[in-house]
Amino acid sequence: MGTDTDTGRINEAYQKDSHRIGRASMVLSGVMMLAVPFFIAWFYGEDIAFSAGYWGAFLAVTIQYLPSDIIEVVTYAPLLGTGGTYIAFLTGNLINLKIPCVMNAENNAGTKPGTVENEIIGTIAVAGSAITTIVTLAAGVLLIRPLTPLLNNPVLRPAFKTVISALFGAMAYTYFLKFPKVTILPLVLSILLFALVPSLTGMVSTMVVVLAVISMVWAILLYRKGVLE
Amino acid sequence: MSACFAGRKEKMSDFLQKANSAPMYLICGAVVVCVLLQSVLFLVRAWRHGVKIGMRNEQLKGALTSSILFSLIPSIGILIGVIALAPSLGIPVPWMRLSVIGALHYEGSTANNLAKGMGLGELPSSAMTGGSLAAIVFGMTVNMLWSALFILFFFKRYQKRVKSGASKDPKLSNILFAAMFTGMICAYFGDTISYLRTVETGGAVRTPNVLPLTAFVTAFAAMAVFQKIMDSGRAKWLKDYAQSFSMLIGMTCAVLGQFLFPTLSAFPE
Repeated sequence: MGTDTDTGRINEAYQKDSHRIGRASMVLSGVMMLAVPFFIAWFYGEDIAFSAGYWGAFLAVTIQYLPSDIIEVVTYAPLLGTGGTYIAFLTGNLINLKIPCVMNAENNAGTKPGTVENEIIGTIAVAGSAITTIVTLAAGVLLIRPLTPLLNNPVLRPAFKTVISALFGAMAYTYFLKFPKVTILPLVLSILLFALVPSLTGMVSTMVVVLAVISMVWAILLYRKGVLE
Repeated sequence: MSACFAGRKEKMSDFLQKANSAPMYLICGAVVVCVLLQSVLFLVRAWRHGVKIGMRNEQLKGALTSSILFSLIPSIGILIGVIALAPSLGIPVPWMRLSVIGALHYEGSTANNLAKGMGLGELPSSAMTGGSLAAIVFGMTVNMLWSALFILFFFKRYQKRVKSGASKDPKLSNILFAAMFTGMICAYFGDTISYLRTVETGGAVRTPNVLPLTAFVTAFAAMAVFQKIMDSGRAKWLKDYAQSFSMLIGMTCAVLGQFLFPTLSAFPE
């Protein structure tokens, strides 16, 4: 009993620290990022080109991204856990990299959502993924001259254009078969929607959230009816 | 006319020369290092805490290994984004943007929209100046910080609510997490289906293309084979590598597919 209480206290302190470090690092990185455009203007000896046309375009971009930025946090944070959320929302590439990476690591480790073990595995997976991307990009920038012709080779183009499809195809085997009765509705809906309205291809990130919500509502209905084991 | 073009060209190269200079690498590198340190700190803390609460080292190592392997190929894809944006913004800015917060589809379109708003036209633009680069970077940064702001002020409270809901019925929450991710995968599968039809996207006409579907289906099949091998008790080491190998097989099949279906394999620029 005493040990359980101790473990609970240690875990709670760990979580509390994660929030503290996460917030502090976000503020620090945010300030540094915002300083960059001012440095650029100073370095070029020019004023930042804030014109009326610029602010119009800025507003249009904000209207486009503000709601989706917030929906992304609400949707993805429960999957990423505490540490994972702070890292992922600072390093980006969420749906195309961090989320699948976490789901894969947690699936391999066999940890359950909401447990400390899951939090640990999720944080390690997101951190490992972020470090890999940062190091790969840094190495790539150093070697950009010899790499550019290779990576722009037209024969290899389909490989890099289909990274996301291949990534989700590999994940699909594990998740489509986890709860096949849940899978069937969003899968059929998605095929029909994208086949009949192919222009949805320009709104995949929105469709990801829409289908995730439909899939969850469907899962709740099946669960309440006692269909899911 | 040609003199004017030559003048513009010179201006453009002046701009890029500065955009690719050492001070730009230094300032962008400082931001990248700061974010890298955050990841390292979280990684070390999580590892130590995992050991403290009795998790096995192999379990932790497995999570790290699989995530590194899993991220390697997509990271090369992100590097192509740096190369694609370099003629417009120089190398250091896209390098920083795609290492930090960014995602390629967002960075490219946001930079272009802001440039058009300033009257620079499509990127790369010969009218680009340091002031306009600064304005573009400002817009790209601020519009990606909304989620960070939301996390800063509301995440802890939101997480508490989610946790208390999940703890009421752990079985349902387990199903819901899987269902949520399944829905996401379905969206990406649907997108491969959209590639089978002609569609106008981003101002360009996309002709039917079977390669995304080929990559998805072959990666799926490869994973099925790897799972069978793992289930049979042979090659248990595959667990941490199966996803990455399947992904690679899917991408390789897409490359081969362009020779099998030459008329159904064009990606718009």
